[in-house]
Amino acid sequence: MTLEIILIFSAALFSIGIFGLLTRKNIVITLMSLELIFNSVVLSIVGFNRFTMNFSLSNEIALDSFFAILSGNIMGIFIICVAAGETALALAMVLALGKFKSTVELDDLSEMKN
Amino acid sequence: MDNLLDIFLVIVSIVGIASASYVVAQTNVFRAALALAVSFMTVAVVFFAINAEFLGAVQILVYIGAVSVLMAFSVLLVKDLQTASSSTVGIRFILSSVSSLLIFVVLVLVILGTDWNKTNQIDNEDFRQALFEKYVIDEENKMIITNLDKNDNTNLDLRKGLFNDSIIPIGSLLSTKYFISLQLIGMIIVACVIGSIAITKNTIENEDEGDKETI
Repeated sequence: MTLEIILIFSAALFSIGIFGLLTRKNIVITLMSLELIFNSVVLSIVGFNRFTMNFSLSNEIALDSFFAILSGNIMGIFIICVAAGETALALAMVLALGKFKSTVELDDLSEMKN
Repeated sequence: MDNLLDIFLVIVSIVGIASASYVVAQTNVFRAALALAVSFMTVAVVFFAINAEFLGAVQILVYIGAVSVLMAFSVLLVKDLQTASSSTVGIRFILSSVSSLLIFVVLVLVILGTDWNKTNQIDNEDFRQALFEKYVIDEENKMIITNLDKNDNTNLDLRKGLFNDSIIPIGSLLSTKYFISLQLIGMIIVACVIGSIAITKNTIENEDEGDKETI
């Protein structure tokens, strides 16, 4: 039952993030919703890595493939790193927008339309 | 013991879901950043509870220590950012709430309806021992020895199970199998940091010249 609880928590975070992404127009809150989605994905990956097995079992296992059981954790670390880099870049852009256009609403950024 | 873990995870999940809802409902962006930190913390607690200690530490360092603080920092730097416009109840609000609720319901139905291939139910006793209790590494053949009761391996160093002590396997994986990926991630982060420094530097210089036309 533990895996199910973790996955339901992850699904709830994901749908809250989707909701925030669709309704809010403030850039920073949109970014926060995006972070929630990233977080839920990492959570579900780590939960799967800990609680599910999808390979044939044998008593004699090579060291590499035995350690490779933890590949899900590595995947989580990579996702966290990319999300952190993306947030740094996006917040620099928010700073520039706030200085030059004096707006942080997504609806006001429509120069490319015409 | 498993039931205790389940109850703990349910409580932590409720706190996490409540703070995440607070983030998307809040009009004050600074408060939303603080609630986001609480939500990240609950995810880190779940990581610690399911034996992913390294990832929990990374979560606390990167998300709570860097991302939330960066969010709060940018809120304080930009003037109009303090209060965000609240979402108005209209056709868009209703459509997006219905669609996100639908996503949640479908995900929950799939999660509860699937028969997951659980690690707790492994039949192979030796393998189970290697995952959760102890194992020994045979350095010559690059194998692991799991059936410790039958072999007498007193001269080899005993290690805790793979999930109980995951730091050494993760470090070994990062430095062998995933080495190229690690270098690539480092390059991506350097590119992101240089890009954000360039954008911020241009912003400050253009502001000093009084040129507010273009970015």
